[in-house]
Amino acid sequence: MDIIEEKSNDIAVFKLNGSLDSNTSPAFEEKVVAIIEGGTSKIIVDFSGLDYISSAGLRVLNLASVKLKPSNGNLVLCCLQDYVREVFEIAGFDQFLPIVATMEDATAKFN
Amino acid sequence: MTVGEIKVSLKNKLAELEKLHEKIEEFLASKGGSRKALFQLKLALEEVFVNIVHYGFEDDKEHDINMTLSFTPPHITIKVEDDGKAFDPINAEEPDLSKPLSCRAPGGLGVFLTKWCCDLNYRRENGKNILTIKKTLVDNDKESNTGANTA
Repeated sequence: MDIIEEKSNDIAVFKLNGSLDSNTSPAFEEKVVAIIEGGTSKIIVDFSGLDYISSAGLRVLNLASVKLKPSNGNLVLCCLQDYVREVFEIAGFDQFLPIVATMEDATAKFN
Repeated sequence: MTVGEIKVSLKNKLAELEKLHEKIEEFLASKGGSRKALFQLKLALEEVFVNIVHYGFEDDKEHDINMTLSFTPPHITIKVEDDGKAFDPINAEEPDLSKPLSCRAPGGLGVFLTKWCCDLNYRRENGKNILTIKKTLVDNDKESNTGANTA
């Protein structure tokens, strides 16, 4: 698992590569929580390099959503493989989180 | 006829998860399953294994979690045995998925996802949990990227 963190203007972008599982999710949680607590309220997670996620990974995105609520922040997910996206749909995350096809679409959500 | 079978023995430590993922990848590599089928089997196995590690044992001792992976075309069957507390995932409480994400308590989706992507059978025998996870590799599974096994 590899997490690349970038900031462009006031948007934080996390690019995930590899597997977001029970062993690798704590490192992602630490980074996401730190950035929200540091005052960032706009977050994009780029899944283009992610080929696996378990409930441990979903838990981190759920937590981020909870932590963004007080600041009316937003979390946008982009570039998911079809079978990864399906898990988000089955878990009912897609009703509450924008899930878009490209990074351009994700950035546009904040304009 | 069963055309392939391997046994995997894991200790009740999260660090063993990587080995579990590697074993299922190796096992499925020659069976013609799609990336989606591999993804869903990895998911089911991780959720089951992690649940046993987190909640199965009240002592601090090392325990074995034994798995048997077999392929009887077109079915992949995985038997998971542990000597932890009795836990029947089939009758576990369902999460409330209609609740806004920002108001949900994070977690609790593991069993739900396992039941969604695979067929489960549970029995308690001689102080052991015996869970059988089954997934059918369908013809169009080789390229298909949509629709779950049970959808």
